[in-house]
Amino acid sequence: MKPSNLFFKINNLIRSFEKFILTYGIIALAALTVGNVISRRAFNYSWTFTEEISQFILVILTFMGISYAIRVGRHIRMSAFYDLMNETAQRIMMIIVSLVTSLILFYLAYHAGLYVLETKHFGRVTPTLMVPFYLIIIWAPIGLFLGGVQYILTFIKNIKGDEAWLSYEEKSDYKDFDVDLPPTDN
Amino acid sequence: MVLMMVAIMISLLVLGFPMLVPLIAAPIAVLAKYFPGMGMKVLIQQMISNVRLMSLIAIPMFIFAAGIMTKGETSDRLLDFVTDFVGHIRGGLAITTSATCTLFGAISGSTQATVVAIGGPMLPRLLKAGYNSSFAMGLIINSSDIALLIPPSIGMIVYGVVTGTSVGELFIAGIGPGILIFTLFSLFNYFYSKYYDIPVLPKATKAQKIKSTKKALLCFGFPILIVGGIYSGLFSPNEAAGVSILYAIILEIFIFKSLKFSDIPEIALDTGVITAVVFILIGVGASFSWMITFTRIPNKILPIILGTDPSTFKVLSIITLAYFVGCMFVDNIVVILVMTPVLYPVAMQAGIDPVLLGVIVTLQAAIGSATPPFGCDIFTAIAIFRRPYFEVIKSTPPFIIMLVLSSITIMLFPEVALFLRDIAFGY
Amino acid sequence: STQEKAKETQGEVEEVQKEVTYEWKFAHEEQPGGFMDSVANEFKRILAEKSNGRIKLQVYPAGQLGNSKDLVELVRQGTIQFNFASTGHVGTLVPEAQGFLLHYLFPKNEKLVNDVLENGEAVEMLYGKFRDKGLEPLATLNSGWQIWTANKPLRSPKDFEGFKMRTMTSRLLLDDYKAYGANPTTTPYSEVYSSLQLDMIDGQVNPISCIANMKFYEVQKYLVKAHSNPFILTLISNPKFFNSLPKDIQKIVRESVSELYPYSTQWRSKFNKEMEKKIRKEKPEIKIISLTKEEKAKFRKLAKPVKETYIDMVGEDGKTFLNLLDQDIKKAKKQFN
Ligand code: NA
Ligand code: NA
Repeated sequence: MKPSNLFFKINNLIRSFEKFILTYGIIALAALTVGNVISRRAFNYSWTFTEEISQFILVILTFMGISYAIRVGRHIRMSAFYDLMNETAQRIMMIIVSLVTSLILFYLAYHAGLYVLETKHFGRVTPTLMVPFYLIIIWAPIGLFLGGVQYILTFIKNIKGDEAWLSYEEKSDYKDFDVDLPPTDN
Repeated sequence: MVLMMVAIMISLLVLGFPMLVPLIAAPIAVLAKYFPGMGMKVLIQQMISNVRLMSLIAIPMFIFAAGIMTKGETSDRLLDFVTDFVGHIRGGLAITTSATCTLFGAISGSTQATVVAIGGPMLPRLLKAGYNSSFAMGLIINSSDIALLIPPSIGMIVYGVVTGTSVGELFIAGIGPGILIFTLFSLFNYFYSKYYDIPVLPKATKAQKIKSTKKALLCFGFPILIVGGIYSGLFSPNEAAGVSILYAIILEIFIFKSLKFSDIPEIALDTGVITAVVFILIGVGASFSWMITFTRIPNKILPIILGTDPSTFKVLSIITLAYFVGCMFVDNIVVILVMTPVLYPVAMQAGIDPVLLGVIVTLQAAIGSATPPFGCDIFTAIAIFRRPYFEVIKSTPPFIIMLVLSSITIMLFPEVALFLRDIAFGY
Repeated sequence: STQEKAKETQGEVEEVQKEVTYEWKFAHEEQPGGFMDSVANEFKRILAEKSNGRIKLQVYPAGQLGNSKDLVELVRQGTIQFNFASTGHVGTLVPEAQGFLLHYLFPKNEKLVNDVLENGEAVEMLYGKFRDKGLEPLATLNSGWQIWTANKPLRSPKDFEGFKMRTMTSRLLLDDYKAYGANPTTTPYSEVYSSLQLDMIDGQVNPISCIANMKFYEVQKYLVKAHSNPFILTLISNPKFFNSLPKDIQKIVRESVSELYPYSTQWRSKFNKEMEKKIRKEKPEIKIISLTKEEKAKFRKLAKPVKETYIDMVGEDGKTFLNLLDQDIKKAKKQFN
C-alpha cells in the first residue's frame, strides 16, 4: 500500500470514530439524564454516577468534535470580509488561516499533553467513581492534535488546487433554507 | 496589554479565523509576553473545567429534543396551530416568536437553550410568512435574551451567589423588565410588519382551527411537562430537557409514527456537532476570561474611570457600560462572575439597591449574549441555522437599541424592577 | 581595602535584598465575607505588617481563578502561591485527606479539635502526603461544624428516610448519608438554592457561613447542629516557591501562618454567632436545633462502618491516619478535660 493511501485509510477510520463519539455521546447523555430522573422520581434513588459520566461525555464530545467540525466546515467564524473577496483572495486567506490555526492547535495539543502527564503523575481521581482523571482529559490533546491535522490537510488542499476550500472536505459552511421562500425585498 | 489583546482579537476576527483562534490567541500572547514562567497549562485546564459544567447539559439536551421535534411533526403541528390563531394579525408570527421565547425563558435559565428550542422550529415559519432571514434570526436571538430575566435565570443565580443577594428577590425583580422588553419587541414587530407589508395570512376557519388544535393537542404536553415539571419540583432544568427528549421520541416514533428509531442517530450527530462547536467556544472563552481576571484588568481600569465620589447615575452608567462591553467579548455568565466582585462594592457605596443592580447586570449580560462581535447566542444561532455571520447579526441593532432603552428606563425608574419585589417581600 | 570593599558590597546586597518586594496571589472559592476570604485577608494584613509592606498578597475570591480542584493545580504549577484546599475536594488528589470527611471522629469540644489540627501527628502524616503531590501544606484550620438544613427537624435516622440530601461530590459523604437512610445527591453548589426552593432536594449540609452567604435559610425551616464533622481546610503553597524564598521571608510566612490559628478561632466564634443572629433576624420563624447526646449516638453508630469504606479506598495509610487521629484526640482530651 502507498503511504498516502494508508494515511487516508487512517484518516477515514478516525472520522468514523469522531462521528461515533458525537452521535452516541449525545444519545448516552440523553439516556443518563432520562434514566436519572426516572430513577429519582419512581424509585427515589439518585444515580450518583450520572454527574461524572455526563462530564466525561461533555469533554470527549467537545474535543473530538473539534476535528469533525473542521472536516464538515462547521466552526463559527466572522466571514463578512471573506465573503466579499474573489476566489483567489479567498484561497490565499484560507492558506494563511489554515496554517496558523493548525499551528495554534498543535501548540495547544502539546501543552494539553503536558497537563495530562502532570495529572497522571500526581494521580488525581474523580470524586465518586475514583477513575484516574487523566483518562478523562486525555481527549483534549488528542482532539486538539487531530484538529491541527485537519487544518494541515485544508492548507494542502488550498495550496494544491485553484479553488478556495473551507476544509479538506467542504467548500462552504452555509446551508440554504429548507423552505420555499416567497419573493421578498425587505 | 489591553491594547495588544484587542488588536490580536480584532485582526484575527476580521481575517476570518475560526472564532476559537482569536479567543485563545490573545491569552496565549499575554502569557508568553508578561508571564513567561507560567506555562500554558492553565489555559487547557480552564477549557476542560468549563466545558464540563453540569449546568451546560441542558443545551445539548434541548438541541436534541428540538432536532427530533423538527425532523418529526411536533413543531409543525404546534406552529400550524399558532399560525391558524395569529397568522391573520399584523406581525402575529413575529410577536408569537417573542412570546414563545419569553415563555420558554420562564422554563430554561439559559438564553442559548431558548435560541435552539424555539429558534429551530420557528425560523422556517417566519421565512415562509415573508420575514427575511436576517430579521427572523435577529428576532429569535434577542427574544431569547428575555430568558435570562424571567426566572429561573442562571445569570441571577450567579449574581446572587457572588454578592449574597437574595435569589428569590432577584427572580421576582426580573419579571417587570422582562415584560417591558417583550412589550417593546411586540410593538416593534407590529410596526416592522406594517412597514414592510409582510402579508398576513387569511383568517383560518373555525373548522381549520379545531383541526389544528386537535393535531397539536399532544404537543402541548411539552410546555406542560417542562413548566409544570420544573415548578412543581418534579425535575431540574437539565432533567426537564432530558424528559422532553423522551416525550419527543414517544410522540414522533410511537404516536405520530413520523420517525423511526433509525432516524435518531443522524439527529444525534447533528446535535453533537452543534454542541462541540458551541462548547469549544465556551472553553476558550473561559481561558480568555481567566486571563482577564488574573491580570486584574477590570480592577485597574475601573477606579480610574469612576473617580472619587461618583454619583449614583454615573456609577450605574459605568457599570452598565462595563458589562455591556465585557459581554461583547466574553460569555455573559463569566462576565458576571468576574466583574461583579469588582463593581459591587462601588455600587453599594453609591447606595444602589443590590437587587436593582442584579437586574441591571443580568439585563446587560442578556444583551451581551446577542451583541456582536462575540456572543454565545450569536454562535448558537450560526451553529444551528448555518447562515453567514453577517446575515445573523445584520438585523440585531434595532433590538439592541430597544434593550439599551429598557436598561436606561430601569436605571431612571427602578420601580419597573422593584415594584413586584416590594409587593412580594413587603418593603 | 579589599576587605572594606567586600563589606560595602555585602552591605549593598543586604540593602537590595531588603528592598525586594513580593507580590503573591491567594485564590479561594468562597464569596467575600466568608471564612476563607476573611482568613485570607487577615493573612494578607499580617504579611504586610511583618514585612513592612514588602509582601503584597492579592486575594482572588469566589472561584474567579477556577474551582477548588483547579486552584490546587494552579498552586502546584506555581501560577498562584496560596489556596485553601478543602478536605472534601483535595481528596481526589490526596485520598488520605478524606478521613476528615468521616462523621463523628471529633468530639464537640472545639478547643480540642483545634489542638488536634494544629499539633497532631495525624495532620503531620497528612502533610507528607500533600508533599508527595507537589504541594506544601502550611496550616490546617477548622472553619466550623457542618450544619444540616431541612424543612423538618432531622433528629434521628428515621427522619432521613428517603430524604434528598445535597452533599459535596465525594463517595464517603454519599456513603455517610446513605448510612443514615438518606438519598444523597450532588447538586452543583450554585444550584442548591433554587433546588431547595423547587423541592428538588430536601436539605443540604454546609458550614453556617455558607448557609448565611448563600441564603439557604430563606428556603429552609430548620438548621440542625449535629456536630457530625467540622469543615476542615488546609492552607497550601508551592514547595518550589516556598523553598526559594530567603530565610527571613520564609520565617515571616511561617509566623504569619501560625497567627491564623487564633484568628480563625476568634473569627469563627464571633461571626458564627453574628450569622446566626442575622439569620434569626431575617427569618424569625427559623428553628435552630442542637442534637442531644442520645440523638447523636444513633447517627454515630450508623456512621461507623463508613470508616471501613475509607480504609478500603485508601489502604493501610488510611488505617494509620485514623489511629494517629485517635491518639491525638486522646492526648488532647487529657490536656483539656
Ligand atoms: Na429563565
Ligand atoms: Na456579546
